[in-house]
Amino acid sequence: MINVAFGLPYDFSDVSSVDIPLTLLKPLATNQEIFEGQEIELKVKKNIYCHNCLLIKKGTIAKARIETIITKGMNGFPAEIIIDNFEIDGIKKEQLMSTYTKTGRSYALLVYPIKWALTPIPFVGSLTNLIHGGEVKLDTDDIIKIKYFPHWN
Amino acid sequence: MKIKIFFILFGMLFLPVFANEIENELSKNNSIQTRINNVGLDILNHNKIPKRVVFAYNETDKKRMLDIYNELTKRQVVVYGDLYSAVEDDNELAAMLAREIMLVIKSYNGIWGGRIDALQIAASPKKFEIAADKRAVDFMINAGYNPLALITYINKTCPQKRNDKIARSNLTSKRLARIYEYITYKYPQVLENNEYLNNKYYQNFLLTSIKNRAMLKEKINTKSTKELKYE
Repeated sequence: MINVAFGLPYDFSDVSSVDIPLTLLKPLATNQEIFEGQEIELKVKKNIYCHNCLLIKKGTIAKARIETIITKGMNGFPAEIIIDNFEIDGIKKEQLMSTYTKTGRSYALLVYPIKWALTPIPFVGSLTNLIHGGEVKLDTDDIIKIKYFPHWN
Repeated sequence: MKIKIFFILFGMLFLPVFANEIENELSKNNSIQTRINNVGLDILNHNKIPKRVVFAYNETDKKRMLDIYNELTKRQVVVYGDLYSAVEDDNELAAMLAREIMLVIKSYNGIWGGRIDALQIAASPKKFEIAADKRAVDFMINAGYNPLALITYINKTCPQKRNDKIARSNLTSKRLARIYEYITYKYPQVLENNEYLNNKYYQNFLLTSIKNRAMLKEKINTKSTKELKYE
């Protein structure tokens, strides 16, 4: 629906929102075989009410897509996964604010002080390059929360 | 007396010319800034990015190699005149902005107001270069721009180094191949209805990426999920 006042295809005036907690049907991790663009299935964790009416029933299956995977790297750099493009029956995509990002454990706070402390000794500081950050793991009990804005177009 | 009259006449004749030039210059800069803001806000709003990002046009300075200071600390995307001059249409402008927006968003995340994440981007620009390219494709699609413009834009603005083994940035041919692969898997419809087949820069990319695209074709045929080592 076009916002008549501004001629824009969106209108973010309304601030009222409902949280939708979701959980994965299958666990996923960045060290497993997953790929960008992969569709994943989730289920709604509890009944979602909006204006005292049942909006989404507990257990409803939702779909989403793994958008981008950033692999872990040197100097404690963690892996990262970005999930978006959520689809829930009866809910328009335009009404969802849904980009979900999870980052693995970062060792940067540990690595950089050690690196700088060892820098005066030639080449030794570079050894910290070998320390890699953590992988991202999403289990079936991890809650992925997205927001539903009922009055957005 | 004669000198005074000379200066008055000189001023009357030439000052309006200078004033006109300054006015033209300001009006030109204003229209460029407006265009950048329009495209930038299209990307932010269509992607529902709830973080503040501002855009600035800088005609005189040149972007230094891997200069991401403005993006990571001021959360500002600076469009430099030399790079803007390579932009042909709004799709390419969106490509340029979408990459930088990704870096700005990343600088908001994590502990200490995003300082650690920003530090990591600054320390590992090579890794984030590819991530920014990929997210730029998503942002462009969501905002209704053609992501193939990212390929044409990078193809004409980023030089090709000899190798990237110990460099802080990736080989441009590798970046282009990764973007092409990302679009192939996630947004095949863009390549099916390819609006860039008549674009000289895109055709040049196709010409210079034959080997990489052959590797990708093999990967698709064998349904492999391994990461390709592009050249």
